[in-house]
Amino acid sequence: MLLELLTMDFFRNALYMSLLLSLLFGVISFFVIIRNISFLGAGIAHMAFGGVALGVLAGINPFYTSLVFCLLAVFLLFYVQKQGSISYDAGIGIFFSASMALGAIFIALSRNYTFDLSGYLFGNILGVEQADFIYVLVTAAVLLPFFMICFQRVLFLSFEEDVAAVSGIKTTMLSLFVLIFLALVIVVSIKIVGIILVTALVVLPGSFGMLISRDYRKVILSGVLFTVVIMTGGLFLSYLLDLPAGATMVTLGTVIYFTVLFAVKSAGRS
Amino acid sequence: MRDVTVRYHEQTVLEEIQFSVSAGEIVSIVGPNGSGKTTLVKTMLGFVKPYTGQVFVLGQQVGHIVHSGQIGYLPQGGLYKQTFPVSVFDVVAMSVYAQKTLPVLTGPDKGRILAALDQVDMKGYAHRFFGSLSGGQKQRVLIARALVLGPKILILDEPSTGLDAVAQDTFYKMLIELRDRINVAIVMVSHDVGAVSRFVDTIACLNRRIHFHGKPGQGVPEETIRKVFGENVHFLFHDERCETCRRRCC
Repeated sequence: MLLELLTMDFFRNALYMSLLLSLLFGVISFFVIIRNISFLGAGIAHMAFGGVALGVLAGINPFYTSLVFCLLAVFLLFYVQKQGSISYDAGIGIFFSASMALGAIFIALSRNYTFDLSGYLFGNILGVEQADFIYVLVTAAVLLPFFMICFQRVLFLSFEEDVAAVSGIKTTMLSLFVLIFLALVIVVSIKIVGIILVTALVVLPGSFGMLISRDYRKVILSGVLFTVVIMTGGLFLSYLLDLPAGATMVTLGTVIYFTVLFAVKSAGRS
Repeated sequence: MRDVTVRYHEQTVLEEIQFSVSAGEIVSIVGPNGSGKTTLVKTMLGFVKPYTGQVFVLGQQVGHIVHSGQIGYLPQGGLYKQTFPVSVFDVVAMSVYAQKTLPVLTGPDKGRILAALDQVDMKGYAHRFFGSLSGGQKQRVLIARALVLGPKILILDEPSTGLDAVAQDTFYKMLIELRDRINVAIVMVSHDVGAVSRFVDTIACLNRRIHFHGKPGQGVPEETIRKVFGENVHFLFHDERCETCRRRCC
């Protein structure tokens, strides 16, 4: 039966997409965890809702409006935080709720009763289209070489930003790039895994990796493998049990994370 | 530093600061909490722009941070996450990677990293998880990271915070050895006038202004200590006959 699933185009596409997203989330999640910006990940995902709703209201592809919306929010957030006018957490809290509020207003104004709100909130990996592949592949083509070249610099600034700056690293620019890539990964995957569930994929892989190893190379590798397991496993399980795919993936990831956490803690005690 | 004044929101934090440090000299800037020590360090490094006056590092005026590799910096009090997944080797390698276009370490790079660790007696710990080290060992590794590019100046902000008395002594002795071996200039900021005065060449007492700048052997006047640290200061004088000092050091 499982092999039969692979003969279906929609399922194969979902599987390929899972593998691609695993790589992106595995890498970006590592930086989210070591830079302590998990709440920002959740914030950006929810800010995208305002952009999606704006697209619906204006009759523009919601992908583009959510991308612009999130990038503007990231720039603004970064700027006000650098100016010292507001803390990251407070800024995210304000932007997050304002975007959600604007989203609700835009949806109400649009009077578009055919818009699939639940699709954007919870995603639909089985409905992956060619355009989604293009967005994800373009993001991967920019993000992966960037991290290959700048990985050590971002690692240094995440460890001690001031020392990295004294060592000649352009810390402000690199920090902004990390946020831009985080926003990009979130926006390209919203239609696939949903605004609400994408937060889990931003946080879980890096957190899992940190449970497994104290070597950043292994943390990233185990984060990527973990995401492959939860996304492909969740996909098969959701089909077998007739459950929503995104929710199954996140539930599976959470169960695996806590099982390993308890196992690691028990092993540490014994 | 020439007549440097720094203001935050109309409040003067540093006033007419003037001092210099030469190669092979250890200068300690001491003062109580809130005296402007960390601001002074940040001004030297180019993070804070002086309101008036000029800062010169290695003959160049500091406008923005440009002295990559020539200044080794150890900031105050371990702001890094204790669970940060890096080894001792990885921490020192960060400085080397910062100078490279492509993130690849060559054989000589690895040799340089191990040599820097060797200078602080931490070579044997190269592959240990950084977070598992003691406070003193971590400080040594961070010094190795600051040293790996062969800097001309080391700037240390409260390097002995969190170290017990024995670890502090060992740490300061290591700094003297480094100074003697590689002729590096060391600027060290501390709130502990007693501890540093036994190890440094020059001491500067700071509380918004520099109230004393001279050799510790000359003895910091009591009046200056009271000006810098406040009236509520009690003096205990130690020498080699002091039982407490003997028990701690020997």
